[in-house]
Amino acid sequence: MKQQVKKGVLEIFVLAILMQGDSYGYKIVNDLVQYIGITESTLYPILRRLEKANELNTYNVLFQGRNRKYYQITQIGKKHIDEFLLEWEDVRKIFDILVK
Amino acid sequence: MKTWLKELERELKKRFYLTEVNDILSYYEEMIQERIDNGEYIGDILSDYDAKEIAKSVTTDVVMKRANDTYRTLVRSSKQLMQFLLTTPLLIPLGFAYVIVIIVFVSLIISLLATVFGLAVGMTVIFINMVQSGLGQNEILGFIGVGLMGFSLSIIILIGLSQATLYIAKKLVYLFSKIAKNKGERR
Repeated sequence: MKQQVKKGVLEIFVLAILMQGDSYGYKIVNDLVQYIGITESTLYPILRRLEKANELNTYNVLFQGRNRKYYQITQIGKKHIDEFLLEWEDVRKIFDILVK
Repeated sequence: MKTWLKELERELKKRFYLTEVNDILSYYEEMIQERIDNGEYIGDILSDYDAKEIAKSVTTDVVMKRANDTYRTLVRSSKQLMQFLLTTPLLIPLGFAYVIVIIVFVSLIISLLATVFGLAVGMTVIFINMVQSGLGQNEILGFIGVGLMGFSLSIIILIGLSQATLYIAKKLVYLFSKIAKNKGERR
């Protein structure tokens, strides 16, 4: 995927993963890496941005004697996905009109 | 792993506040631990990470995430952003643009402060002259009234100026961080 397109959709993909249920950093990377090139270092700023925008909440769970940070999508995050998909539909419609 | 985390901590501490350092450290510690638990070798895992590069790459995001609502945090964020821009080859022109904008911005503030200060000094000098020239009580009282109004107005202007400075500086840090981030991602 082209870098410019990827940049815009990564946040949506992370939110989409979280729509399936709460998840943690390592699992998010592994779930995404099958479809799109992403590393832990790429994911960190995305998670922090979404957290700052209140699109996801975090909580810690004790796992094998250490903390595992879980991410949970919020209503604002869900709204972000809906708005993105609507815009995407608009792009598709305009494209279809232009190529007719 | 501990040695590498210490190295990352050292690099992060050069740039960020303790809470920011701890947040990044705990993220990478968790990631490394997860990879170890999933059977990867520590050597392979650590070869994927470069502490210096990580510290540098998160600069714009950390600066953007900061509240930047006090002069202290703003000056620090501004300095870090400037340092980051001027030490990243692709972003050097943007770094120079940022330096110029900051110089112009600071000059404007100094000019405005000098104007307000000059007005206060001017009013005092006029008042002293009026007293010395033996003007009547009514004129002097009238001038004191005008002077106090002018002084109050100056205070209001200074408060407004201080808030506007904070707001504009905050927006500048955010704007340049965002441009730098977009440019970095386009690489």
